[in-house]
Amino acid sequence: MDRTAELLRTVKNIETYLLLSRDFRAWLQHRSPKEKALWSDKILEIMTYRMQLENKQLTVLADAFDKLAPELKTGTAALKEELTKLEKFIHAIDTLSKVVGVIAKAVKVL
Amino acid sequence: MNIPRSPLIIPAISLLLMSGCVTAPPKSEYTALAQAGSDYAVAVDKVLTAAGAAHVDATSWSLVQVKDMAGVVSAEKYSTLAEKEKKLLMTMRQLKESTQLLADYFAQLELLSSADAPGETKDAVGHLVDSMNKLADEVHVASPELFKALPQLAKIAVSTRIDAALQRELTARQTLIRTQMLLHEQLLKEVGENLASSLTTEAALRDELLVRKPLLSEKPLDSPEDWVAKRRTAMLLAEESKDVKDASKAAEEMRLAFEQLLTGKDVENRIRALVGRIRNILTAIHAVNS
Repeated sequence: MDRTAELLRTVKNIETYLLLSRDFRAWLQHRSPKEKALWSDKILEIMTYRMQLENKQLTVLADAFDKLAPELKTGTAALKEELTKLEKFIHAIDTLSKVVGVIAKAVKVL
Repeated sequence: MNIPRSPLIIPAISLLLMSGCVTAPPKSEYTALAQAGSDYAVAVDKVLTAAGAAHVDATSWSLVQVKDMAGVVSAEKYSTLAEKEKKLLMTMRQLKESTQLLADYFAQLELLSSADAPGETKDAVGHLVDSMNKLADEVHVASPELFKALPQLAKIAVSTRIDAALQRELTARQTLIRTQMLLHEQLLKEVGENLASSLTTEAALRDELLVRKPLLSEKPLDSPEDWVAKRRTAMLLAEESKDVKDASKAAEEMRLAFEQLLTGKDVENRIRALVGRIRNILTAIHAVNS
């Protein structure tokens, strides 16, 4: 991972130089159309390589996340189940309140 | 009429016993962590979306620059580049899906930790309060204050049960959450850096192609107002990337808040810092998008 990151930094620096350096731009202005086309290809190749490295870095992470996905889904399901149990518990309180209400009415009648 | 106390006290006390009395941090801390977790997942999703868009824009500006400098771009080289960029965007989508799973988890945690979750809790306890009060008024009980306080025990029982469930879940899943957060630190570091790099490249190329070139040309500016607006965009774009670059610190704050919660330490300040960091990320992303 660290080697990829280091390589990525180097490639980015080269790409930035080729795209933004005024010296390189001035030099390229005086080249033949064939040479310009060659440099155009080179810059696109460097950009493509940089994207490959970025993708490599992110794929390592995406795969690691995928491995954790089943357990995370299990956790979410367990929380849902807990919520259902809680609903039943609250339902029991509700039932208790109704029983107490009936007792209160009965006591009033007596 | 005298009603013996014990038969009515027993169910209320049973509620407490059934709930499982455990030592746990105050529920508000669980709620705060769960809410921060949900907000965090939303922020990560937005960072990934912004990073994808910024990547495509930076590539487009780079291609415009190549065309401007060399006068030609090969169809074959462009197709290869576009293919690789699509693959990268697909990986980012995969990461967004993983983030969604984390968001689902925290959303469920938030639902459970919320004092009003489910909504019937208040109603059920409220009904019990009314019924007990009526009964206390109707009958002569030895300790009416204690009798009227019984519904509060039910409320505490629900709250204690929620706390116990949350503590059980977070303890059982601590390795998973810790690993998730460590991966997120790495993810946000890389994506944040890539996003900042894309924005810096875009800003530099906008400056070169839309600001310097027309300004230094001998031709008069087509529209001075447009030029001023373009210069402002180019100048501010690079600045806005700085907050996003620090996005990985939000993942670190999240992990540390979780660790402190598990050890029963006060997490209020940590969560406040986390919420502030999430807010900064969202502000930066909003600025980038707009």
